[in-house]
Amino acid sequence: MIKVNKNMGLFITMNPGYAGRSALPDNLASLFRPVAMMKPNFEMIIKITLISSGFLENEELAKKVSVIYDLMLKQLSKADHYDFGMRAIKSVLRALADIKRTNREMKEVNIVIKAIRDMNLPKFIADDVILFDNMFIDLFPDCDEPENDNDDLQIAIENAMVA
Amino acid sequence: MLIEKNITNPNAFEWSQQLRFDHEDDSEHSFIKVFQTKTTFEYGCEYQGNNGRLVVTPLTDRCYMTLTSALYQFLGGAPQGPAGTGKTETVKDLAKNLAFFTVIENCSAQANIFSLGKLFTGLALSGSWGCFDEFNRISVDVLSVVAGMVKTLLDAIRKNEQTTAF
Repeated sequence: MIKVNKNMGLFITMNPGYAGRSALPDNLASLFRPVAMMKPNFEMIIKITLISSGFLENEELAKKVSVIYDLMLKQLSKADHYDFGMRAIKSVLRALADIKRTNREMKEVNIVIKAIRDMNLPKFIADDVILFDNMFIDLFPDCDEPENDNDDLQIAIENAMVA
Repeated sequence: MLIEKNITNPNAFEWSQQLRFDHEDDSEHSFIKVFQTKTTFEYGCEYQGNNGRLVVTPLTDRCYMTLTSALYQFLGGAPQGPAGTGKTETVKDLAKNLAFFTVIENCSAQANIFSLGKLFTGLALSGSWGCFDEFNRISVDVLSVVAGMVKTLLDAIRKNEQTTAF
């Protein structure tokens, strides 16, 4: 015999349609209420996160971020390690908030550009970098590529190699 | 939003669909209660820390509503959908709202009735929530035993029993 606390709650999540996954037996399925989840509203989530991190141009920037992630998903090659879903966007948003907090004078659009480039460029394969740059120019036509602020690292690496 | 739609009745769906908190006293205790649609829960009072929260979109609201009504009918919740839609996150965030401790378990094909049985026992004893990710990875023979366990526990809660044979 065990004590039962009435506050207990059980939840199960499933990704239907994957290979090697079994469907729930009916007697189990009847104990759980199914909830169908759709694609989240990226733009709204980005906008609200931007507002909460103190971005004033949140409306316009949210649109751009969601558009560029949509484009990346559709146009770039399908490498296995690519992920342009909510998880990736959330990590960019965290990076945005960090930059905003430490660099208060930096222009908001530049913060967004820097965060998106920093989070994505390193993982792209060579062909996709060109596509990505084109996308960027289309979306942020009058912003130049932000200068690299890894000078210290660069110098340190060079010194280490010379030594 | 309520002003825009001119909602003045407390029974209006636009109001009752929100997750609402209220304070209630009886002769000895005072509780915090959580309401949504026709459902009522006691606030769990589990310390959650100052961690990030989800952005509440209309989809989140709808999921909360389905999950709270499922719990109120003594059922489990089974969010399903493509990867990266926030199924786990939604359950976690609802648990934060109601201040319940939540255990997230990533199920695998190796999960057996003993490991799952221990988990269910712990959840039932402590009154925590369990969120079993990728539940359909568990093999069918294990699932059929699990169905029996879940039914025992949910039935005990439904009948308001203090203890159950498990």
